[in-house]
Amino acid sequence: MTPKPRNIVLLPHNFPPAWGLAAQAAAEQIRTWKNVAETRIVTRWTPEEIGSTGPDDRFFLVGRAEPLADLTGPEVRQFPLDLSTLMPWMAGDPSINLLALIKAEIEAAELGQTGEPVSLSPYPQVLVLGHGAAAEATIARLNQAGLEAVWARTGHEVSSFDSQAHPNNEINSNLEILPCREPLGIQGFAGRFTVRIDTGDSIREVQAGAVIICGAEEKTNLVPEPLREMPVQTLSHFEAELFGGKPPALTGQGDRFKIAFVTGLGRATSTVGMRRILTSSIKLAAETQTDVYVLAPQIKVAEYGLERLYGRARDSGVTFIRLPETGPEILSDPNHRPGFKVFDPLIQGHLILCPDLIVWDESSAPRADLTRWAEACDLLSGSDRGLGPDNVLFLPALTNRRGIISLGPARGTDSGEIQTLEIETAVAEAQRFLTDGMEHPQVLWWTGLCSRCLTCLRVCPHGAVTFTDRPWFHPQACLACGICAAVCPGQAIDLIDFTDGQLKVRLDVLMARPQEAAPPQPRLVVFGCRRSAQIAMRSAPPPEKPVDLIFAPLPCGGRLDERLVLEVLGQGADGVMAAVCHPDNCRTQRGGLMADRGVSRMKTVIKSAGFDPRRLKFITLAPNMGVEFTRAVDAFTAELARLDADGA
Amino acid sequence: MADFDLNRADPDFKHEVAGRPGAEKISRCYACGACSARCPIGDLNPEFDPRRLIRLVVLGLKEEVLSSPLLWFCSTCYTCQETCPEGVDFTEVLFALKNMAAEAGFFPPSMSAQVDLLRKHGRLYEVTDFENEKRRDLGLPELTEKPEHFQMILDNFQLGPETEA
Repeated sequence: MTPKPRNIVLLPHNFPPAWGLAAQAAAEQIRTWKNVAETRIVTRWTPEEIGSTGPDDRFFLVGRAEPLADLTGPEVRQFPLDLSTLMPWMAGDPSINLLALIKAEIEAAELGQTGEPVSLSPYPQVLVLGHGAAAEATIARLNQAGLEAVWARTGHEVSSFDSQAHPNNEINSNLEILPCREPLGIQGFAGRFTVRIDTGDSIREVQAGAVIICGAEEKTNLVPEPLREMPVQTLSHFEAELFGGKPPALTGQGDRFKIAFVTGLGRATSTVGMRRILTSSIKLAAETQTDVYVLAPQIKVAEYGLERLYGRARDSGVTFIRLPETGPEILSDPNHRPGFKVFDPLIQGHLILCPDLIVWDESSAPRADLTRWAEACDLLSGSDRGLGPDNVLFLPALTNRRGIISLGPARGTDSGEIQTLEIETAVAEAQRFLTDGMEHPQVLWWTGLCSRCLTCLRVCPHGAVTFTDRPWFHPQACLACGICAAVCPGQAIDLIDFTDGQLKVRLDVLMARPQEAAPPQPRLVVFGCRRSAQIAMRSAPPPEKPVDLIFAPLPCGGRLDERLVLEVLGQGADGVMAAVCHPDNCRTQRGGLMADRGVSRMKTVIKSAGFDPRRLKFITLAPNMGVEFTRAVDAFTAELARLDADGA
Repeated sequence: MADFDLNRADPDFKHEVAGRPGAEKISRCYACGACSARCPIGDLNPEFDPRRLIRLVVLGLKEEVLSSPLLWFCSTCYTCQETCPEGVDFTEVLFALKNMAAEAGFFPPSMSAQVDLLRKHGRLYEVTDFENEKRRDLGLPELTEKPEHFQMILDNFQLGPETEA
């Protein structure tokens, strides 16, 4: 039998006044707790200062956000106790808050469990799916990085990798090329994928450690409905004239010819489209007597040299107009030239522009083939219908499945132009999954509680759950959002470090904290994502009205457990708030969304349990939104006070 | 809410402004709003917003900019200029715009009143016995009005009515 671990609390000697207790006094109080073997006061976080470590020691590092690099070893377990949720303005004696937080973490650690690590043994090769310049550049970059590539080629035109074209090319001998009509599915996980492809006359399975989907170039010349009644040309056509020695005829009705480049109607602007538009508009503004306007939902500059081009365009007098997500209003008065009407938030008025020529970036038109690919490969697609979520954290090349990377046309651009940044990211990301090692599970599963309902399989946004006679949770794909654990009806799934028991014991300790203020302040429990709300709290100013705030950190909004909401309301909380990341800023893509849905559902549940649904609130925050956090708390306490006054 | 017809705008206006000394770097602005956030006048009057003025210039809305009384609200504290991450010297841009406004005949009455004071007294207030008594108590030399130099400068720049002979 393994001996019981010893809990050792490490306290920094220089306690900030906000904690309400000197280190010595805190150490004395903590020494009286039964589950603490020892407390040590450290002046510097060095191994010499910290003193002896034993194989069964658990170290609680009070006030540190990160574990100590010097103490790492297989036997040393560290629990950094980030006290960012301990605000100077919190209700009551700050020392009680401090001790409660430390106690909650120790009790939670006592309940902690880990799972068996999984051996990875990955497949060595990277599958590149698609054709065109982006695919070829990716293969070249993989070769350069010394990685083995298999090319599932969707197109038929001759490329630089064809042995007929370049018989002396050394790369060709190592590159396996398979014809591919479409991908039919990707099974498995980062490191060990099996990709099914339709070769045209048969179905083949290819094994790969990582998959880079480059997509297929497809020229669409479709002009969207709203632009058809206007003087319009596609960008490709316009470029061919402008750079092909045959200058476009630029004579219009006004004294000066007005050209409007339009991109991204119903689809995000791409960096490739942006580069083409900027290059053309700079040439026009510099060499012709035209007024150049660029109408785009965003100015994308996240590629090499684009920021400089954007600056040059502004210097040469190009005017940029931001389109709303719904696109511009089209003016189609028969007595008037057709034009655009766009609200400009800066000058708080509408801009009206009737250009002599509209140049439409046809590469920003939606594409049907990518939607089919996304369905086949279980990939989320964004509003631009590229493979990859609408989420800044998944840029420039990540998808919702670890080890599957999308770029170039697959990311939403039709152009064959190479996007270096995407390719570099993709190759670096693919490389991560090709080295052997062990991966530690993030999820625990209890056989006796599982009813095999498959809810976990259906909700996992990362393709990390499979099912045989039982569900399997694969650490190679898991992003530890906790959605499966939160929705499991049998409570058979636990997220490591945030198990049901650990969350409950943390809350119990914090809720047991006495309320001493007179008159009593409203008790507010905030379930907050540790990546946004918890960091926002660090910079949160004091609220207008004092509030007894209890902060329960969650690894991600997805872990918000409806049962815990009921529990804290039952224990006397006046209000419960869920504070998670913004929808397009969620590290796990679906966590915030699940929390939002959970809160809506809980409103009905708590109503039937006799609580006013307005006692439950959902907000989204970014880590730098401390002021907004306090504002939300103020608004909520004011609402709770109104509810109390109404007897609700 | 006003509509702004860009087909009637003056697309050369931004180049005209950028051609003025100090205002050359106006095209560097991408409306981040750092100047707007720190402008003390903007705190008092939200209508006064440096990046809004730059946007109007970029859009070529010459008439709106030059006729705007907002141009004259600036207290020349230079906070915007110190703040701008792109080095757009906005206080200088505003000097250029004020000069252009004055040339175009948009000169607010309060400014005319100040010019009149300068012309009359050589400073922005009249020196009376009250000021000089105070100065005597503090041991400071007496002030006399010497408006001639200012009259010459103002005449040269054709600002305000000619000095009455």
